[in-house]
This record gives sequence, structure tokens and C-alpha cells, in this order.
Amino acid sequence: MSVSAHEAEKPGKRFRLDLKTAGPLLALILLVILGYSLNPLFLGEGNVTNILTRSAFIGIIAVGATFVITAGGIDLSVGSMAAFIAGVMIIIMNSAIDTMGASIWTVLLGIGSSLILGVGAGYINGFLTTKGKIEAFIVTLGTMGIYRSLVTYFADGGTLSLNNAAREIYRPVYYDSFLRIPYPVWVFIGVAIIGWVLMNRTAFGRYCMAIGSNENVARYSAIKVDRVKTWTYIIQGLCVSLATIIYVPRLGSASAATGVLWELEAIAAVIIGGTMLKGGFGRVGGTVIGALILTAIGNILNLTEIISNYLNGAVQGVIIVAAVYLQRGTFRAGRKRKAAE
Amino acid sequence: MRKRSAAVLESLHVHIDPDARIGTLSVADKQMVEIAKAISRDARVLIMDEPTAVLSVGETETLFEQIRRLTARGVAVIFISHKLDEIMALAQRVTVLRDGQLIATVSTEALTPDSIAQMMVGRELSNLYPPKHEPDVDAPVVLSVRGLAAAGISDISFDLRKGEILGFAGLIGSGRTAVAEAIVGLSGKTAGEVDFEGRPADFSHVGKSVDAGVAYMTKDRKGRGLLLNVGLQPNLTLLTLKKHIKGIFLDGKSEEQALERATRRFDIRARDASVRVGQLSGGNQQKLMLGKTMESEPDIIIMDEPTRGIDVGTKQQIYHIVAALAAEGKSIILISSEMQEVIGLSHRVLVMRNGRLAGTLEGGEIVEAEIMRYAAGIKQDGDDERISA
Repeated sequence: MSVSAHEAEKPGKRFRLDLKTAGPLLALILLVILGYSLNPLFLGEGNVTNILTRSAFIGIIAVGATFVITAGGIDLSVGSMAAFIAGVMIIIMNSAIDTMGASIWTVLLGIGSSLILGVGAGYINGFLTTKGKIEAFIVTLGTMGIYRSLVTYFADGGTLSLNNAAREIYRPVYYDSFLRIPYPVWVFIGVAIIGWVLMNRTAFGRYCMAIGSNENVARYSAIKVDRVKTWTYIIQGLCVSLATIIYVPRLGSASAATGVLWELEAIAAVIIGGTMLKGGFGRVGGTVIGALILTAIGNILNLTEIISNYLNGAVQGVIIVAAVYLQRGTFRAGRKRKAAE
Repeated sequence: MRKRSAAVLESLHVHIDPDARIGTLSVADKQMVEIAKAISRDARVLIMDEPTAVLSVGETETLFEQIRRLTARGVAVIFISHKLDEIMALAQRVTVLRDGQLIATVSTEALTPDSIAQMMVGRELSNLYPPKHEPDVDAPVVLSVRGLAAAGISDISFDLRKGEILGFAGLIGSGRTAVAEAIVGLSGKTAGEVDFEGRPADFSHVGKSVDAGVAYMTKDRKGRGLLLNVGLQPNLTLLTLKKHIKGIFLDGKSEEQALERATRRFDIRARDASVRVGQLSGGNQQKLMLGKTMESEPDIIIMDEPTRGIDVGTKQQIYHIVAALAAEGKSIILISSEMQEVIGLSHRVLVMRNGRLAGTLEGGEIVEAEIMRYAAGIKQDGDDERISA
């Protein structure tokens, strides 16, 4: 959240309200006001914590997706990847308990393997798109199917459950808090800040932007395009791994239904946040807000009776299309104004 | 439709297969298709914006025939061009714009290319080209290319001396850009060696040539040179971002200073620094790209069509910058399809034809007719010896 504050500073510096930057934040504020007026419980401490914790999964993944999309790529495999990593984590921890008993080391082993799997899976996506010269959409469509079917296979069509002893040790990672803020939210904040700095204050972020904007210009500017693009997928994999690490203790299980459609929610959060799908323009702060908007919509529908909760997807869909339309609208208006000057 | 396309293309005397994909055509052919498209619409008013920027002399002549045929049929044509001889040859009336202001509309008979240029620049344009320094024949060779071959080019050998401006002339598509890209490592070479400052150079990636001090400035400033949808600063420092890193973070202040220096040195005019580069004039874009290239502090600069599609005033500025760089001891390879520019600036001129070096011209030999003879294949290097033998 401190990230969005940073983002909001920028237009102020130039004494010009940039709708493109402030738009998502404005939308979130309106949504909060709407939610509160429909049901004051919306801003109750329990509910706010709930929204933040729930948006952490999609939010963390979406921060990674911001890099991939900014550099002109796309990753459809993140939902399946999360399910696959969760499944393998559980298998590894369960078999570790069989040999060495349940301890904090069991959980750390699970976390370590999750990180390795995430980085590895991201590297595979990156390698196939850059060195294999296959379009990112195709590559990640393929790996999406592979991970989804692997987790189904591991679970034998059912559910993989974490050993109860390990669950007891692992449980606090999702359910406990520090300074009254749940750990998943801390992870989300950490990922968002690191992501924002990486995108806006390092050469890597600038290179992502340049590649997504025009790959040829990037190549002629001596940027190692393949390497940077591969790194965006590795970052994405790492983010999926972190999201999975905080997700597994929530239910203690993984199945074919884990993480379904997360890829689309993550992409939606990125787009609502103002990042351009065709690349070249990335906003990590916007992505964080986008993830919060998506979760808040579902939450408001849960708290009120006006619209059926079953229409959650429809409302989110309308918001996505409206967000992109508005951003493009302001973009055009801005250009016209400049041309007129 | 196929028949009609063929007929329109035929009337333009261009030999392009109507089924060919646009992507596979040369830039000049693309331009001819664009023109054919405009003509096929039976327009009554036709506005052409720099239609000849990438056309060869022959193609330009064909285009002019078409334009004259159209005007004879009663079509009004607005012809926007930086090439004053074209304006003089084609137009009945000339309107000069400068910095978004209408300067004058005068009938062509009352004008000379000089007087148009004067109106365009707003001051006396006495010396378009700076005075040439005598080339130093004893200056060390800084770049030596031997037997270079790559896609579309073969057997390219030449030396570049310190402080020299080496012109590369030839028709469009003769392989000059391919030579430059093979040297700096933008495209793979299939044979040959490049020696830089007396040592074999490993320019397998363009980053290595930039680090060594050899920079290539592309002719395609909109497609390969600049990011049009971002501001000046990220564009200026993109090639040399490593210089603006403090610890692991970008040093915004140092980038700002670089932009300030570059705008002063290269006279880049933008309303403010937040303007998107796509909104700058061609001349300012070109100067920004020159600034970006010079940020890497190269000893050898390969400039590919450095004045394409820009106004006379900016051209003159760029010519003087080029000459000043050479006087400072930088070595320059100047690839240009504008014969006058190559002649006006170069100490030595290499002419390419069909992917090979057709001839070398020095001193008094550097004249238009001689360059054309090599470029068109009427004359080859070695002809003189045969004649004298």
C-alpha cells in the first residue's frame, strides 16, 4: 500500500493530475465508498484484513505478471504452476515426515523446493519463448496444460493433503499476524515494494519497458533482450512460488481445482492497474490496486444482496473492459491536447 | 482486384508481384505500393509527404512522371519534401513552413533552391558543408575490415583512419547497412575479420562494440533507433544506462544532467522533457538519436543516413557536428544515399554495388558522375589498371 502512495506522488510533482496513473486509485477509493455505504461492515477491521489477505495471492502473482507483460510477453501458466508447485510441496513434505519426522525443517524443505520449482518453471517458459522463438502465448498455454495435468496425476484425480503434523507447524504462515497484519499481507507488501523499485528504479525495469515498447530499438540499444525476457519469466515463477507458499497452509491441500483461472485474474489486475497488455508501459503500484479492486468487488457482492454473488465474474468483466476503455480514452485525449498546443 | 493492382503497379513502371507480401518488399518498393494505393483511389487532391525519401533516382523520376500525368488530368497535388531540387522540378508554387508558421507562398519561377533554403532556415545559409580538413595520411588505422561476408554482402575489405570521414555510397539495397550491422555485431557475419585499434575485435554482440568504442546509428530512427512512446531522457540513456547506476539503482539526477548536456550540445528542441519522442520533428529526433549514440563516447561512429527526412537547417547542424567530431580525432563512417552529402563531407568514398565494394574514390575523384558509374556498375575497381595495361 505504501507503494501506491509513491505512485500517487508522481503526477503531483509535475502539477498535473495524470488520470492514467491516478485512475485505478480513484476507482479503488470509489469502490471503498460504495462498499461502505452499502454495508458499513465493509470497513470493519476483520473485513479489511480479509480483503487484504485474499488479494495477496493474486496480487503477488500479478506483480510478477506486470514484468512479463511490460516486456511484451504473457504468462498463462501461473494458475496451473501454483497448483503444481503446491502439489509437489505437499508430496515432498509428506515424504520428509515419513523419514525424518515433522519439524520446522520439514516446512522449510517444502518452502525451499517451492522456490526452486518456481524459478525452474519460470526459466523453462523464458527459455522456450526466447531461445525456442515460440510465442509466449503458445509456450505458456502448453505449460499451463502440462502443470494442470501433472497435479491431477499426482493427486490421482483427487486431493493431495498435507500431513496433519506438518500442517500444525505450517499453519501460522497463513493465519497468524505481525503488528495485527497477517503474514500473507506482509509478503504482499514486500513483493510490491521490491517489484516497484525493480520496475522504476533499476536498469532492469527500464529494459523491460524498452523491450515491450519496441524490441528492435532495445536490440539496437545493446540490451540483451533474450536474457531480460527470460528474467521476467523467472520473476513470475518466483512470485507464483511465494504465493503458493502462503496458500498451502490455508487449506493444507492441492487438487486439480487449485489455482484455476488465477492467470486471468492476475492479468486482469495488471490491466486494471494501467499496464498496457501490448507491453512497454508497466505500473507495479497499479497492479497492486488492481488486485485489491478485484477482491473488493467479490467482497462487496458477498456483503450485499443487490447483485447475486454468482455475478461476481460479470462485474469483474465489466470493470476490466471499462478500465481499459477509460485508460485509452484519457490517452487519446491527452494526445489531442498536446497536438493542439 | 488482382488485375487492377497489377494495372496500377504497371502504370507506375514498378515490377512488383501483386501477390507479394508487403513485408518481403524493399523499402523503396513499399513506398511505390503506397503511392500506387493513393493513385488507385482516383483522388482529386493528393497530399504526398516525403514520398521520395527512400526512393532511388530512377524511381523518383517514375514517380514524377506519374505526378505530372495526374496534374495534367486535373488532380491537385500537395508535395511535401525536403529535397529542394525536387520542389524546383515539380512544383508551380512553393509554400515554406518554419516552426509551425507559414513563411511565404511564392511561385516557383521566382525562386532558386538557395532562396527556398534561406526562407526555411530564416537566415543566410552560406556554407551547408563545413570546410574539409586535409585528411592525415599518416594517421593510424583504427578499424580494419578484411574479407567480411554476411547475408547479402561478401568480400568487404577496407581501412578506416583516425579522424577520417569515410563515405559509403551506393544505391538503396546495395548492402551498406548490412556491412555496418555485421561490423558492430547486430547481425551475424559468415566470414572475415574486424581489427579494432590493431587488435582482432570480438564484436559478437552489439554491447561489446559499444563498450569498445564503436557505435552504429541506425537509419531507421522510428523502428530501431528511438522509443517513440516515451520521453527524451529514457531514450537518450538507453544505450548507456550502465553509466547512470549508483549501487544497484538508477541515478535519475545523472540521467537528467546527461539530457541537459545533450540538448545543449546537439541543440535538441522539445517543449519540455516529458514530451513523447514520437511528437518531435524528424530533425529533433535525429539529433536525439545522435546524442544517444554519442553518450557511449565512441571513437568510431557509423552513421547510417544521418539526415534522412530532416530539414536543411538541421542537416547543416549535423554536417558541422560530423566535421567537428572528425576534427577531434573521431573516425566516422558515413552511409548516405544523398550524393551531395557524401561528396560534401567525406575524405574518401567507398561505393557499393550488389553487396560488394565496387570502387574507392579519393580527393578530386569524389564527384557525382564517378560515384554513379561505380554504383550503377558501369565501372569497377581495377578497370583503370586494365585500361592502362
